[in-house]
Amino acid sequence: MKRNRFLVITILFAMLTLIVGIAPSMAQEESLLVWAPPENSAAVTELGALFEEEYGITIEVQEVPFDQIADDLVNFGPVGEGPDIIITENSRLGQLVANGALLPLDLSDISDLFNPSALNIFTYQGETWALPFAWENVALIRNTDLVPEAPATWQEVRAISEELQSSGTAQYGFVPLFGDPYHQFPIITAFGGYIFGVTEDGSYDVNDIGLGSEGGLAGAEFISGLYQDGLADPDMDNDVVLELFAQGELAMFITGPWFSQRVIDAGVPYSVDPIPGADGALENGRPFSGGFGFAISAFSDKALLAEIFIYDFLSTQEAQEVMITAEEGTVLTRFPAFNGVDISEDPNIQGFIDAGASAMPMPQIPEMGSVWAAWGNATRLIGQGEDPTESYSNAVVQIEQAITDAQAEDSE
Amino acid sequence: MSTNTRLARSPDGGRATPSLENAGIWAVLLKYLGLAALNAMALIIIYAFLDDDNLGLAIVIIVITVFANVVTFVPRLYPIRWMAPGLMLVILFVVYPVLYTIVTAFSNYGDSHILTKSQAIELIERRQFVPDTAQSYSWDLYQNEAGDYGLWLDGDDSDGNRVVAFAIMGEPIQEVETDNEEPPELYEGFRLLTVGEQAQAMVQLQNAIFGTGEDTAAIANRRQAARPLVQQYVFDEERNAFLDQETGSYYLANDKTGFFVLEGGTSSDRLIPGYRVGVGLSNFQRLYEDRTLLTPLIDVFLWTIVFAILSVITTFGFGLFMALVLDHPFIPFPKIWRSIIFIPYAIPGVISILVWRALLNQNLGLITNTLFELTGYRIPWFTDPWHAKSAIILVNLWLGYPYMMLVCSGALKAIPSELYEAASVDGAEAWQSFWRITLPMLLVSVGPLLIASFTYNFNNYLLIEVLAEGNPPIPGTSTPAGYTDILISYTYNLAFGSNQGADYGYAAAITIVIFTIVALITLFNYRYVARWERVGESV
Repeated sequence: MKRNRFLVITILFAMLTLIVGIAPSMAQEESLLVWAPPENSAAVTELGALFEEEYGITIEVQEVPFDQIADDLVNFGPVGEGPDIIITENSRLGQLVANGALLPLDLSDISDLFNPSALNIFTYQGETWALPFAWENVALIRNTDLVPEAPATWQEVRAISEELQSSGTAQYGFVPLFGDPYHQFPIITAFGGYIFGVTEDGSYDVNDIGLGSEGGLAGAEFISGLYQDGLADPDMDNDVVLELFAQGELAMFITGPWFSQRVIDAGVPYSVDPIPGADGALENGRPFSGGFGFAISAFSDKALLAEIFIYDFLSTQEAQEVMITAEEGTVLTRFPAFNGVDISEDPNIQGFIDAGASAMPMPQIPEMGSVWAAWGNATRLIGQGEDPTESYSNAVVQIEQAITDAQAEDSE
Repeated sequence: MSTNTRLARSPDGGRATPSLENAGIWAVLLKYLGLAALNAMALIIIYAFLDDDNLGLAIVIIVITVFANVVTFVPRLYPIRWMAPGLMLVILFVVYPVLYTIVTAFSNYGDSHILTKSQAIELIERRQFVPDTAQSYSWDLYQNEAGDYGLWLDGDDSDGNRVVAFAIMGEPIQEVETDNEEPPELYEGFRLLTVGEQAQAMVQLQNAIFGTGEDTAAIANRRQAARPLVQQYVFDEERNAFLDQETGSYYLANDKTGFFVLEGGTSSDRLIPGYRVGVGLSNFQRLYEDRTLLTPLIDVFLWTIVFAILSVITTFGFGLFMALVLDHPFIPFPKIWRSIIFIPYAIPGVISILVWRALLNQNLGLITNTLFELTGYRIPWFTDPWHAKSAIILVNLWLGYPYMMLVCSGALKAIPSELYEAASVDGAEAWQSFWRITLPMLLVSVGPLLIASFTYNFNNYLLIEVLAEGNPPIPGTSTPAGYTDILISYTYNLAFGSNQGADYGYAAAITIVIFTIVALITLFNYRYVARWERVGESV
């Protein structure tokens, strides 16, 4: 038995030395790790094959859900488990930059290859943080049988609604998406509302919350009026709206290119129009624009290689086309950020892009996080028939409180 | 070892047969090999954790590994061996997370403070800058036969004159006279690399320095090389501060707020990112002082309790009813019915909830439309507080009653039929025997399950979030809250909601408070169960 124990201990140590010795020397090939959301991972894998062919470097793709990429990068990056490159939305820039998680990019050489709006979306605190491949904004979808002329103002939209309803032609002229501030923002901005004021140096002033401004309240009042007078009904989400549109019971609604195919499938004659303005205020409502791009992790120890991938490879038409190509038999769901990508075949995209002429990038600052919940609740309350001024003013109070709390926490 | 001893004292009077002895050796060998593999794996993991600054997890793994070894080697602890795997997993997946949550609750772990101090220092020390006095160039990469790399540098000096140079690692940088705009294919035995070859070399050259002594050049990024390239922030251990080599000023580490703050500057002049520090009770203080939080909190808390109690009562009541019905001898094929009724429980909750959400949709929902046709009233399921609350209870009833039914049918079978016979002899009616016999006897066995169900529903985030997202909102609150929000959904949205990033310290503090509440309620409930059990004994 003693012999046994001796044998066992010898084996134990042999295994230990073997495994501990081997472990560090494993892996370490020339490769880049990219975190891509499920909707892009196939495209990035395809890109990886192209890149490997041209540069001899493998691209590993890991699928990470969009809303986890930023959180996971700041948590896994520092312990060496993070990627070299991520795909990110512009709305996450504030969080990523606050955690020092991204390397700034210098796109000056290649900027004229890209749509300036798409580049602008990824500019934050004076630096560009990602190379865009796609962007998007909403537009007004109109049933051209029911409404032959595009309305220029929201007042006209309301008049059309009343007429369609009273003549019995259609149940609704226009309905806002219930409780959805993102889709209602272009209406609010048409009346002069905004989220954060802008200071002289172009940065956001988080102490100036524009939902409670005269324009913001006028927008809220207008939306409230639609519900109060029975021109719109609560609890109408995308599915309801698209269904009503297909039935010819709804003439107009706001949506983005992601529902382009469903709009076509509705089978009614339609047009993609710019967002109407408001009498005495803006000529066009301003939708949010959002973007999707590749960014380099500050925790990567292969930054120079990642830069080759971004600057040399992703700025080519070939690579950008892979990222933007629609699935067989469907239409594009986002706009290409690269000028050279041909979109003339697509029935809707140009309409959405035109509607985006007045778009503004969604504020990337972390304070935006405090806005959504409060604003969303106010939007719902208006849909449920509560007083618009009270609802919006209270949302402003909630946002101010959340921002003060966050600031107090950071400054001691 | 002890296995062996036992085998040696096998029934045939201690005269172990060779085959048995062999089996013993193999069993022992297998055991020790298993342990060796475990130890080796643990060692790798421990190294990895220590390397990542994760002392807590490393200690846990050490404790577990030592425990496994002690249990294996000390014969007296033989019985514990059967519990060991379970205990190890409990330590790893229950004890450690609980401790970690507690530690986190006393820190500022969250956005801007994700990194530990040493990680933050490491990240900030990576940053480099091109000094005003430095020459910056565009670069191209060369390599000679021996595999050494050379850097072709081409740029303009401050007077706008073109300067070209060639740099090799460990050798003085040579100035080059050339009129050619393009870099040459060959230069002194060095060959210009293609973009693909450059890419291959990039990982090696990530931090490479070309030139020698005072005169060096390095690649700053894809666009630019600098001569020299200088590390921007150097950490000074003694001063506990970063020296900014560009400006010469210091950023002092403030270990209370977890930021490096500019000496003499305001608190917003700081380096990004900050780091994780202990902040004492301030997360709990914030929870307590946050008046914005407290006002809706009472509404939310009351609804949480009402929701959990109603969920238990409705699911148990209906489940018991179905169990009794199916228990009745006149019902044909009870097994088939039971299986069919159990189906809702077998379908993943998210799917059922989403289906219900569609059925109850105010405009297109099948149920809403049918009721509208019948009654002329369109039920505002998710825009009216009371309707929303009843919708939640109804859907939870659908999700929960099959389980209760199954549990009850089992428990009903366990009630001795003599009790009913005796009752009927005494002239008890069916109703009486239900209240006096069935229910008390049932509660003895099902009671703990009801408490578990209460605790589960108290934290039933999935149902609330998927069915109604806490809506409809409560008007006029000082922080966003909805009528159907329960404690867990309300606080989750507060700490992590709507893309606002993460505040783990605060969330951990909230978790501890919620845990305390649930624990107290559960304790209270168990007292009641004890009473039921006494009732059970006396029946």
